Amino acid sequence: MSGSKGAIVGIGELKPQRLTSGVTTLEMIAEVSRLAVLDAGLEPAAIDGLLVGPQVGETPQHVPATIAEYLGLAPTMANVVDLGGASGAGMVWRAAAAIEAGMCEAVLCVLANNREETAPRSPNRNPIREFDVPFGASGANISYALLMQAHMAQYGSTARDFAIIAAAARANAQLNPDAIFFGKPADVEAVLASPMIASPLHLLEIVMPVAGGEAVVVTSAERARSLRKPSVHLLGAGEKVTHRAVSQAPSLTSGPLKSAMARAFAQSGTQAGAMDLLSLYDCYTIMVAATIEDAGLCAPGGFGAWLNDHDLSHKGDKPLNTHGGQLGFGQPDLAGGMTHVVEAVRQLRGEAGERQIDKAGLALVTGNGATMSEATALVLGAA
Amino acid sequence: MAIDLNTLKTPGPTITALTKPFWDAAAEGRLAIQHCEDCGKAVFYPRPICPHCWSKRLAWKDASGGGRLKSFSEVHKPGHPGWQPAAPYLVGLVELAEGPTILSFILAGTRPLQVGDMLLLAPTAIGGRVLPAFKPVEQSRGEAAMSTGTKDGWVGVVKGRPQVGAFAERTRRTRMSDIEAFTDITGDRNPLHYDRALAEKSVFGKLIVQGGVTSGILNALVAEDLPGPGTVFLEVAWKFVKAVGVDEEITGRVEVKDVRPDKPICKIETSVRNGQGELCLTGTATVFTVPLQSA
Repeated sequence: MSGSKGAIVGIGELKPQRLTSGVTTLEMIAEVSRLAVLDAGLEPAAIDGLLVGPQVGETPQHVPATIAEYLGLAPTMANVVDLGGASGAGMVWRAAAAIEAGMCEAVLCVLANNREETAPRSPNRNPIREFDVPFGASGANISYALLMQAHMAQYGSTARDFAIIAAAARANAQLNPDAIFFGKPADVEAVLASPMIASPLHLLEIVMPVAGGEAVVVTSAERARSLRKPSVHLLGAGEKVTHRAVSQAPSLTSGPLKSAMARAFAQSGTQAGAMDLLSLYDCYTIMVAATIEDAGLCAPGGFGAWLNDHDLSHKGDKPLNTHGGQLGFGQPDLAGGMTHVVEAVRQLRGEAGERQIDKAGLALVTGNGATMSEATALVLGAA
Repeated sequence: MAIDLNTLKTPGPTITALTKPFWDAAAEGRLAIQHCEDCGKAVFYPRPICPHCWSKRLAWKDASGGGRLKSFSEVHKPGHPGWQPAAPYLVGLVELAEGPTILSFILAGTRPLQVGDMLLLAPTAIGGRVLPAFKPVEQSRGEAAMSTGTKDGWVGVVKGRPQVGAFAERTRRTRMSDIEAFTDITGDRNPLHYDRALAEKSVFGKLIVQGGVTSGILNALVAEDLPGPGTVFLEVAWKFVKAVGVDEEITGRVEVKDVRPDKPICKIETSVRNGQGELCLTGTATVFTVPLQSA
């Protein structure tokens, strides 16, 4: 395929669970890696590149070596990608770039996490711990509540506008038996009636943390042709990192995805309106709202009207997060961002079953880390 | 709030030698922030180098204590259990008059909090230490004028009397038609605006718009946003520090620095930045706002 920077040829996903007991993250990484490599139709020995996340519970250092040893791999390129929820998407273009640089030929990108009843708190010692936590702001909920309040104040967006995003995610999750909220729909009224966590953010506008794992295998466009599954091509990518603490954000209503998506569209010669699938990172409803606006799908402040004008289901004119998004599927920690990659691959291969979209040529995948701080965007195309 | 915040078992700061002056000042009820002696910008949170210019010449100064609420949240389910007895409580992002934004605890006022509210430093004992919290400025515009005993010079002004620290921004993209429109008005046919080959060989390296096109966004800002309809410039002092090309995004910003109570006149800080955030125009202006509404 012309313009391909590399191809995703294998995907793996573990069904999310609320809690695990006695299972290590390494074990889950092994399970999900096996699924992805089998799906690609490759021998394990063909994997010569390895990209992993930073949070492998029991292993604070030497993470790639630990995982390579555990899987019996001897990669010629190994690295950690530490971009929060943008790590999954960030791995895909790094894999393609490493192949292009001649460092390796087939890269396993893997993220997984267990979730024990009593997880130890990590001993953070950074500016957020020193300058936000003592004032009563611990955790992401409050940071995203601040972004949401700023959007409402600047543009007059309403609680209902945001609730539509959560309700649509739940609706889409009803077609994904693996989703944590399969069989548990929630409409706009239910979202608005859920407890206030940090105003204006309601409980059902926040992802549910789960255990899980996701993996993809990336190789070159040429190599992909000889493999058994239809390949999905990386056509463009963009990335930007602007800050960590919400107080340091250059804007509260527009994030680094704006520039990351602009680069991905420019590299692929596409634009937001041309996407057949929007696979947008959705840790909170405000994240989807800001991404719709930053993508240029509507003017700043206009996401509410845009949502009312479009059908976000797999049968709709703007399918958005057909797997249910993380709001419907659950957020397996950093692997949550990778669910948006894996679902896009399924749709572009035509393997999404009951929730398959009609015309699946182009997909926009976004990843987001910290408080609208770390951003990666991918444009993927069907073979 | 019924509970004594000082009895909460909340996590304290993780103080280092570098950040100690901030926390020492906080304990004395002051808000100390760093200022860069090279680029002049204020810096928060404390760092060993200025994040704007990487200078090491950072000096501690007490902040004025004034700020503006950029956003806030009423926290019902705190991230740390030590805060639970105080819930619901308010946290906010406070844009200090000096520029940087700080996340802080906000004391409830008599009216519901709103984004844009002006705030004042309100040192508060929380969890066994004094923290630089903030509280809303309670005086309304009318009360402020009455308490000084002078007549309110802003009566009849469409958007009312602006507050020190208030700011507004506008963004637009420059076009070739801007250059042509400006030529129609002024007769300025400088080849730097029309002869692409010549302009590209010049120090600018590109076709540039007239300075009036760049500064024009500030006309729109004062007349539409802050202080609002009826505003005209009395005096400007602008430096054009970087040229703006065609098809570039520019963002103008005005911030109120001083407001006369007796007349609808204020001093504002003005800037225009390009899409990369680089300063293109910087300076100050004095503006007069004609009262367009009958009192």
